[in-house]
Amino acid sequence: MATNRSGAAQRPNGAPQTKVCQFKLVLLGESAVGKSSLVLRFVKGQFHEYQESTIGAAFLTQTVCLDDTTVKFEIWDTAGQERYHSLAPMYYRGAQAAIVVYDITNQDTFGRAKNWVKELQRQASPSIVIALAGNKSDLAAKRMVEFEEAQAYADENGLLFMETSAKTAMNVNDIFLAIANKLPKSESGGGGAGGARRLADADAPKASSCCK
Amino acid sequence: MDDDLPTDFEVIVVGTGMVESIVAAACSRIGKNVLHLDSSDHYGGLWASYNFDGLQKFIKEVNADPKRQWPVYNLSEKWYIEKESSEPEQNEDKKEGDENKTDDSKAETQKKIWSQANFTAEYRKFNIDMTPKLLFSRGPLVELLISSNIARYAEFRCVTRVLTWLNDRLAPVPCSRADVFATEAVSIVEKRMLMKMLTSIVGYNEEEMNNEFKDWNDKTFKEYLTHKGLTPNLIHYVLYAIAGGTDKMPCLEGVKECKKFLMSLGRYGNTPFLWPMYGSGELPQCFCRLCAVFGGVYCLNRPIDKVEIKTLDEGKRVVAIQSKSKTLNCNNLVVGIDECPKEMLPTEPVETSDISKAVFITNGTIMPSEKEPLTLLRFPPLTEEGHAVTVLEVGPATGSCPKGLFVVYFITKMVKDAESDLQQYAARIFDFSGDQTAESDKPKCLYSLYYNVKDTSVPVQSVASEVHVCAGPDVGLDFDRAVEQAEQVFKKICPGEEFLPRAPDPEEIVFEDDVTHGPEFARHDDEEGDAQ
Repeated sequence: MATNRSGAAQRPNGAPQTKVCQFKLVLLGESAVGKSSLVLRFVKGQFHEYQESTIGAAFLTQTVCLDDTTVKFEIWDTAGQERYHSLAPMYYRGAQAAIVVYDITNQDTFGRAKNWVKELQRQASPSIVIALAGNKSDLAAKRMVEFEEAQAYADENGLLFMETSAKTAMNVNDIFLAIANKLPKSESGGGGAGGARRLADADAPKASSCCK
Repeated sequence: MDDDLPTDFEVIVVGTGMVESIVAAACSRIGKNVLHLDSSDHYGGLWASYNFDGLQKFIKEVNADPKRQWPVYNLSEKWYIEKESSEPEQNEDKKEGDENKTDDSKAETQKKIWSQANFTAEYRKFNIDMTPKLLFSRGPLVELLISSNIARYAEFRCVTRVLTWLNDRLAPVPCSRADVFATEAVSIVEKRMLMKMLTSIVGYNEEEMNNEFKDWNDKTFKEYLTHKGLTPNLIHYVLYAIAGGTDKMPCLEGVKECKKFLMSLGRYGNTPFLWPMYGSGELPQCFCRLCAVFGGVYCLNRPIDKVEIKTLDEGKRVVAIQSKSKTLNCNNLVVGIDECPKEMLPTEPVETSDISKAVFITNGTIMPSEKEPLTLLRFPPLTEEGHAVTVLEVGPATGSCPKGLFVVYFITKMVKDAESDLQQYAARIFDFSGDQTAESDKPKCLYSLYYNVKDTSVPVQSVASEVHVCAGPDVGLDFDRAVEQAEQVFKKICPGEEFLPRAPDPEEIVFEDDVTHGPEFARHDDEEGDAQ
C-alpha cells in the first residue's frame, strides 16, 4: 500500500509541494550480515563495530527526495526472528521493496540470500523491488563471494545489486536511492492492498454512534 | 540448527496461538526475557491461516495420525470440479490467474472455468483461516492494537455488509442510521420504533440496573423485542442479525450483544466490523513481532517433550522443559492448551460443546454488489435443536484467494457433526452441482471442507502455579475472550505491571549512541548536571 499524501512535503528549503509516497521496505538475510547496521547507517548515519540489536527500534523511517517525489521508506528490520528460521510471513506481507543482504566474506550467507530472493519471488507482491546488497565490502581482503558472481546472479533475477559497507558508508545511501528510483510512484502504488487500512487513534470520532 | 539456543529465560511461551502470542508480547514489552517456541513450522497453531498447499498438508497430517489427540477431527474434504481443465488450451499458465483482459473473442466477462490444477498452481494466493474472526471497531482488540502501537504491523478491511436469512432468502440488514432510513424493507412507523429501542439499548449499563431492563433478567430477548412492539421483520434483524442470537437468547445477553454492535458503528466503515488483511492468522504474528522487537527469541519447529517443576536449594522453583535433548529453564511457562503436556493438566476433563466449521471456495459472491463485498451473514437456526450459524465471505481484495474466487467460512456450535450441522445452510446459498457453465443465481461451490474443533476456550488451571495454560479458540465472532484471557495470564506473571504499554514510534526512539560516549565519569557528571 503506497500512501500518497496530498499535503506538502516538509522540506527545510521550502521547496514547492511534492508528492509523498510511502513504501514498506523489509530487510532479509542471515544473522550478522549487517542488516541493522545498513539501516542505522542510512537512517542515523552511524556505525558501531559491535552493533547490538537496538531494542524497540526494528521499525524506522527515512525519506529520500527525488525530483518530483519524496519517497518515505518505512523500514522493517527482522528483529532477530530469522535467527532460528522463524521469521513470520507477516513481516514481508505487502512489502514494496526488499534489501536482501549477505556478507561478502561468507559464502553461506550468499546462499541464504538466494533462498530469500526465491521466497520473495514466490510469496511477496509480484511488483516488489528487490535489491541485493553484498555488505562488508570494507573487508575485501577476506572476500569469499566474487563481485562478478553476485552481479551475474542479480542480472539473471532482475535485482538491483551493489556491494555496500555500513562501516565506511559506501553505497549505503545509493542502494536506497536506487530502490526509490525504481519504485512505481503511481496513485495506487505497487502493493496489492489498495483500500486496506491501518488503524489509528486519529480516525476515531468518539461515540459518534449513528443510533443515538 | 538451533542448538545454540540459550537455555535460561524468565518466561518461556509454547505455542503461537492468539492468547500465547499476546502474553509473549506483553511480557517482552515490559522487559521480561522471553523465549517463544512452537512445535510446528508455522505461526498460529489452531489460529493459523494456510495457503492451499499448507491446508492440504494439514488435512493429510491430521488424517494420517488419528491416534494422536488432535483438537481437530471429522475432516472431510470434497472437490466439485475436474482435476485438470477439460477446456482446450487457453494459455492459462500459473502467472495468469487474473481476468483474461486480452481475450476479446469471448463475451465480456465470461467466468473462468476452474479446475483443481488451477488451485494447485495458485496455491500461494490463498490464505485460509482455521479460526476466522472479526474485530469490533471499538472492541477490546482494536483498542489494544492501537494503544500498544501494534496496529502498525497490520492492515484491515471493513466488512461492507451484514446479511441475514429472512423469508427464505438473503436480506441485507440495515446497520447505520442512514441504512435504516434508506431501506424500503422497513416502514416509517417501524423505523421510529426501531430507533427508539436501539437508543435505550445504547443507554444500557450493567452497573445501574435501575433502567429499562431491570425486570427482564429472566426473560428472553425475543420477549423483550415483542413487548416493545417490534414487527416480526424487525425482531428478525435485531435478534438474529445484530445480536447473533436465537429465540432462547436471554434478554440481557441480547442487549449486551446489540450494544456492542451499535457502539462499534461509525468508526471505520458502514458496519461495526473489521477483517484483517491476509486473514485472522496474521494477528498472532503481529504480537510475536512486537515480542521479538523487544528482545524475545523465536524458534519454530521446536516441540517440547516434558515439563517438570524443580525446587532449587533455596526453595526457589523453576520450570524445566525438555526439548530436543536440551533443558530449557524458566520462572514461568505459558503454554497453549494444545501444546500442554498432559501431566500439567488437571485430570478431570472440562465439559464443553465442540465447534462445527466449514470452508467453501466458490466462484462468486452470495449476493452480487457494485464493489467486492466483505460479508457477515448470520443465519437463524433452521432446525429445532440447531444453533445460529455465522458465515463470513471474503474475497481476493482481502488477500484470501485468487481473483474470481471467494472463501466462505461457516461456524456454529456442534450438534451432530460439522457436515450434518452445516450442509443444509450451505445448500441454501451455494450451487453444489459442480457445473460451472450452467446458469444459476447462486455461486458454484468448487471446494468444501468440513471439520470439527474441540472447544478449548474454557480457562484451565494447570497443576503448577508457574505453568499458565492458554485457552484455544472459542465459537464467538470476535477475539474478545482471547484478549481478556491473555491479560489475566499476564497479570498473574507480572502483577502490577502495565499490560502492553504503547511502543514508541520510530521518531521517538532515542539511540543511546546519539550521544557520543565520553569516559564513564564524564557521563555521570552530565547526569548530575541534568538533575539539578
